[in-house]
Amino acid sequence: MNSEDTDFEAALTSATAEPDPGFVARLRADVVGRLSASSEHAHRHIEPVSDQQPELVLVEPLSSSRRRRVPLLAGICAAVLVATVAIAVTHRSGTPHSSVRESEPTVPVDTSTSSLSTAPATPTGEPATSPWIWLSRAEVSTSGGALLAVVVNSSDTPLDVSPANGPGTFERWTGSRWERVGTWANGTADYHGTVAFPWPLIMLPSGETGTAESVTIPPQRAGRYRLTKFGASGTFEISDNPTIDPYLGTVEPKDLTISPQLLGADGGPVHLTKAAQSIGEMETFVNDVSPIAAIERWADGAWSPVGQTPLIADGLYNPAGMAAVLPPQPNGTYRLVLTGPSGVVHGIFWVSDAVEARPAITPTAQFRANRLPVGWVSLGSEPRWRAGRALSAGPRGSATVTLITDDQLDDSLRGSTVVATAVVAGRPASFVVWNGGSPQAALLMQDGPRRLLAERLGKVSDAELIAIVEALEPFPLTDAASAPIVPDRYRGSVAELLGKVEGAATVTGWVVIDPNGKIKLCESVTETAVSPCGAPSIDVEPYPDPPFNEAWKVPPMRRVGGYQVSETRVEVAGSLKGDILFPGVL
Amino acid sequence: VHIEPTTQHGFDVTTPESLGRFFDVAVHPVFHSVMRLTGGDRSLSEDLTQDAFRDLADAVATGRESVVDVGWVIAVARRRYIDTVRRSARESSKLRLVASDDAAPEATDWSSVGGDRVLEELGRLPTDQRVALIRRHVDGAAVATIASELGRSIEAIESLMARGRRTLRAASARKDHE
Repeated sequence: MNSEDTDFEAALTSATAEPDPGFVARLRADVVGRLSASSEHAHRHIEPVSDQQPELVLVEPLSSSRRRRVPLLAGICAAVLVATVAIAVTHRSGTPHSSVRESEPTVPVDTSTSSLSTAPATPTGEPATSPWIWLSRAEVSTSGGALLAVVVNSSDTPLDVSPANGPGTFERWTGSRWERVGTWANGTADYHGTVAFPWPLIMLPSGETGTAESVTIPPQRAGRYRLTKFGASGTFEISDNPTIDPYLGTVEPKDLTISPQLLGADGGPVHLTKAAQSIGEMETFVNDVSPIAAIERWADGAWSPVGQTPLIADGLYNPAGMAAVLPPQPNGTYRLVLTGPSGVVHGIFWVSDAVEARPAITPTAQFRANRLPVGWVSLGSEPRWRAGRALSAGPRGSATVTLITDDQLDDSLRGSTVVATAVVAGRPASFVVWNGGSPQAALLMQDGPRRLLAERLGKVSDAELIAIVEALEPFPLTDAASAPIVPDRYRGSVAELLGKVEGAATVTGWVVIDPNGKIKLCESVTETAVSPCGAPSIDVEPYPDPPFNEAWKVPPMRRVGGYQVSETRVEVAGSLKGDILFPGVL
Repeated sequence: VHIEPTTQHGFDVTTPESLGRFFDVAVHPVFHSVMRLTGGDRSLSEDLTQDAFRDLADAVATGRESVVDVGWVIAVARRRYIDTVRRSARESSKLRLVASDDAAPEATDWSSVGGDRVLEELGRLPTDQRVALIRRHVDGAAVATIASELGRSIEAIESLMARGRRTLRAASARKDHE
């Protein structure tokens, strides 16, 4: 940029004028009055409730504008999937703290001696399957204290837990209504990158638990209180003499992230991610870590071994991570202890019988180096392998997985690339590309598997890639598998497409958004660029400039990858350039 | 309890008081931005500013927003204006005149041109040229983004910006002679 350009921009920037003070004053009164009138209206409609069950009435219903969106898988670990150093560093930051926290460190919470899980609020007239907030303590001292909060999405639909929803609230029960006494700001230590307004969506899928937040409660008078966020709430007492002292021991360095951090008493699968400075370090750890992890429980001021569990190479969910299936355990604070090449690492998780069990996992292939499963997929109440149209049939439970392992590749591909793609409940769950045995996560960020394949092999078209996947499908398929994977080719606008689509769609590449309509882009958990096993997908041509208008800037790391077209929250029109492949559901 | 009026990522505007505090912070930058876009049309700028803040109040009242920043209001106001630009462009596309820029100099010393004068000249520019210039050179929007917003091709936006800049140069040169 030459000096004239600079001066020109400065001249344009200076080309403005001050508003008329009278106009400002009138507008301020108008805007503030508008909200005041609305608030008064809302208060008049609060129903009287009894002291005994304050939470039964006053849990705020979700605003109709807080729309449900097409399901996405857990965003945090998906971010790990495409993470580089910055992500690894982020994971070192540990459990997010709310903005009201004090200097007290996060410490394990002993939930063994009583029921510390705050039961889900069951407001009158609301289904018991509403999202709720699990709290690690039922009582907090009037002098203050800390507790852990985890959003549990017990509903049948994904829950928007984006920071764009704003802070939560800290409220006191007055005897007749919940009175706001503070703000529970977003703990966003789990999210990384420079995010411009508005925030990208982060969806908590149905049945999943969110990231644990450490919330420091400031000194308060005794009474009943609650924390609310994302339309969910959890209640607790503040008393002069809390009967439970939950803080036993001190926090230890956490170098292993466990997801989910809150499990049901029946146990279930968890994903493990070692904090690392590089992909190579992660790879080394995964390859050299001991195949068995110890499970320890916090009790009587110390960690005590309670069991062991084998580790699984978590290829589908996190190429540089691991997975494990945890056995049923009573309520409490636990940790997994792994012995890696540089010593022992561990990560903490919590168990509450108030949380619904997660579905079991099914190993599906063998990692060639240490013969551990390279990936697995969750199966729910209706376990079946599906493809094509059937993928998006069920809101939960249906799943399919397609793997190309090294020994299954033909000569032209052998040694070059391994592609693993999973689709869970109609959504691409994760994928990984190996080249010569080295995870190419960084390449995934830039290219995605299809482009990577095409560029490296120079001959793999979409149809060929799909054919390869079909030919190497290692799993028994139901009749649904006979449905054509790509029966149609669709070209048109997103708006038109959404009118035809039921379920999720994954957009690959750049999307040009027209700012005047009905389309919204949601952050995808997978960043996948191709769904060869037949997930609904929309392929668009790469676009030279950031495709989002200023209201939809996303962190640079997310500029390439999958984005999910969903209902609109902020209504912006969309149009796609390029061909759109949409299998099965048009 | 310490109630934070602002958060790391914006202002908590969930109460009338906090909304008022946010208004005090935001109204001037919003108005400045809109004035540039409208080329100094004060009446239109006041309308757009008012509409944007009313949108904010409604969004807060219905629970759609609780934490916002100044950019939120600017984006709403800008979108409203660009909507009108697009509509008027469709209605008057056949009536558009090609601006004469024969007298435009090669370069201009913009550092000597005051903001008031630039604003005055911006007001004389065709709307689409002005919007393209402001979005590109003040807001830093990508050409492709502007093209999408205005419903034009990238080439058309580049042409608009070039013509607008030449027109401003020519106007500046004429003023200098006067």
